[in-house]
Amino acid sequence: MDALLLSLQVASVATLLALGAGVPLAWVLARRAFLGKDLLSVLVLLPMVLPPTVLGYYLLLVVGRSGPVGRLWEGAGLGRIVFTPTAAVVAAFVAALPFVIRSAQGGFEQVERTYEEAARTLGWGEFGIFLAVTVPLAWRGILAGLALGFARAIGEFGATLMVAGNIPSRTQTASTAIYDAVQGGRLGEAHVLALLLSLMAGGVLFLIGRLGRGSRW
Amino acid sequence: MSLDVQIRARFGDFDLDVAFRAPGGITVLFGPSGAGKTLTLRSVAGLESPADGRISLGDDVLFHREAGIELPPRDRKLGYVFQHHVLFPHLDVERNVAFGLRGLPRPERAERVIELLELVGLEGFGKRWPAALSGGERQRVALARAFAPDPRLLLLDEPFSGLDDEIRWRLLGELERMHERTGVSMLLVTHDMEEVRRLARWMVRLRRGRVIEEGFVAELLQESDLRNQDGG
Repeated sequence: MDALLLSLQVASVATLLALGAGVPLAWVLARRAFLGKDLLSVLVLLPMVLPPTVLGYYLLLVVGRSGPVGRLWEGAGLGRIVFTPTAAVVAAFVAALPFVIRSAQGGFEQVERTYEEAARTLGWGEFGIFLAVTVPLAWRGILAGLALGFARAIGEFGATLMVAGNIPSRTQTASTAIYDAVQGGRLGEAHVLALLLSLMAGGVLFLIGRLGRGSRW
Repeated sequence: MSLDVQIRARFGDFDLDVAFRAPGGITVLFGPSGAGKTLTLRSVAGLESPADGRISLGDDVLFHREAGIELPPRDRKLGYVFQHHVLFPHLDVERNVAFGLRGLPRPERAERVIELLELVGLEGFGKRWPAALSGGERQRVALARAFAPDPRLLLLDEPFSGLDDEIRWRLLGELERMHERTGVSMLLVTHDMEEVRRLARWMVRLRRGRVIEEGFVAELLQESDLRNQDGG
């Protein structure tokens, strides 16, 4: 069950990172007008539609031992990224990010600007308003993004395989373990893992459904 | 404290070019819809950025394009009551009213909230949610919230226009009482002559983005046939 535990860890860290990067980006996309905005929207959503192997290939170019991030990382004494759990996190992060951004952006766009204006007239600055007004009012979109991002992260396969490999007890996630088990004819193991992943995905959808209801306003 | 406004701005097809003075007390910005009342009010609050001009409150310059002065809304210390209540739906009444009181220590803040709710006739409503209030109650909370940080001037954008006549009249009376109790000057946008008659001492009449008349309500009413012009 190493694989399942690693999957949970990787997906959790990746989703949190995607939330940290995605929510501010979503806000910028929802609220600001600037040059190159269309290009940025396309770029951040690209991982959603790219074939996972293509995504994995690009990631290799970036975080590989001769890639810019890979070299910086190694130069900082942190070792290599490829074929480590860190690489799995990177792959899951990039895969989850568009889902977080999409949902959160939708959430922000639904928040009427008059609420923010009211806060401005009450002596608040922009960052405080973001935290105290905009984010709480966009919470449904943000939480949906969190759930979808997590689901996507835990199911990440193609890019993970390319940058993190499939090393049992080291970089083998539940998704890659299923592939491995089927290839090796260990169908019982594949069954169990598939069922657990399905339950998790179903649980996420259930949570999203509940978010749509139950609210105090 | 008197408010002096002289601004020019273009909003889409609309051309605003107004200069007027609100000498303190209750001043009404009066005119039909599309006259530029709301845009003027929003410019005073700092929610719109006029192309040119100057806005000052007493000796304090809030906006002066030529001098490069444009205080952000949070530094203008003005209250604003929107046409629709705009209470924060994720905060209860108490926290809505306390929203502009961040600087105060907690016990004082709680005390002030109670005082403000009493001022608007909503004692004991602190724990309710905006969604559970009637239209009139929401607008009262919005008033309490705008009053909370002791604004130098309260800007009101047709605050009661969405309400039934009976409630509207009661709230207008209460607004007058609040003005007397707190001494806070008000700039009220309306297109309703009855509200002007009832509340205001000084009136600024707008039409199509220009000031067409300005003066004491009583005098203007005598001079002209405003009586029969609903919204001019």
